[in-house]
Amino acid sequence: QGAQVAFGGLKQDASLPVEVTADSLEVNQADGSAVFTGNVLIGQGEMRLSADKVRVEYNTSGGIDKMHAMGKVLLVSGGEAAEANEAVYTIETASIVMTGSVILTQGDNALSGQTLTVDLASGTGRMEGRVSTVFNPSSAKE
Amino acid sequence: MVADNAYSRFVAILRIVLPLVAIGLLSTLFLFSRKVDPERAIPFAEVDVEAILREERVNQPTYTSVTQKGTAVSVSAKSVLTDVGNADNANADEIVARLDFPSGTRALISSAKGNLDSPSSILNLEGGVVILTSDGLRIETAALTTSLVNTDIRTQGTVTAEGSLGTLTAGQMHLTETGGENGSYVAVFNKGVKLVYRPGDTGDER
Repeated sequence: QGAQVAFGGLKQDASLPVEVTADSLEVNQADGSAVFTGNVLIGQGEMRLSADKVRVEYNTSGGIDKMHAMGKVLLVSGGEAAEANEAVYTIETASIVMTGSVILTQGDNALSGQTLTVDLASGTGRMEGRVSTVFNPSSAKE
Repeated sequence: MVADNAYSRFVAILRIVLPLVAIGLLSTLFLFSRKVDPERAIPFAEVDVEAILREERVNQPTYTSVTQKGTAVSVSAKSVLTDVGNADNANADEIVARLDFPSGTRALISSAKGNLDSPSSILNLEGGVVILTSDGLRIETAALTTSLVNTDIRTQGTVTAEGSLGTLTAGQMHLTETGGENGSYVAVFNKGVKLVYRPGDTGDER
């Protein structure tokens, strides 16, 4: 089953410049791959995605189509943070799919599941696969 | 022939004077000689001939070779000047190096000045180096060293790169070649990398 969650809550413009900082980048023209390694941080607008390694996938016109992040992936946007093993960030559709023991924390309560699909444009997310919530009674009053 | 009237006398005088004038004119062709200036005749450059001989300067040299992994390297320069003291060391200016990779990709490296160390076949390029690759990558740095035996380009300092990936700055870059029949280049940017990619354009706003 799945749970619809608000994520970041603010609309994110998909055409904002994407900034990637890392320790090193290897551009291999033979197989057309580009891999950032070493505390990689991807930033666009309010969203920050950090991981150990990010592989860039090109689209036909040569621009960046997807970024495949691996290793201790942490996504922070607005008030929410989500951790996972892997994440795929598609720039055109401004969507991030996080997989592998995803833990989403919003304020005091946390949500865990198998995959979290975040749509940055509309600021919503959808958690699927054995979703379980840790509900913190103290925040029940709000 | 009695020249009794003026006209005949006039014609008789002319018959003598005119040929004399003709001979006089003709002689100016040969007798008055122009002072011929030998220096002006042959224009020659003012370059000091001894300097050329002493300097062992080679103009428009080209160097071509193929690396072990099959990349064709051709280096040309405006002029190469071997060091007077140490013949293994030569300084060159306006260098253009071209790498043709087996996969058909091509890289063009141009720099203002360079220094060739023949025994180790290392070419140090300095004074602003630009690398253009046929897949639209433009890399700029202050100085780099490249080996002529195999493709091994290392920049000394920071490097900026621009291409379909966006604009990139890094502390250092190390470019090598991959073998195999579709061998091409592998550029490793390290010592801190920062990339800015604008989704709107595909980086061809140059």
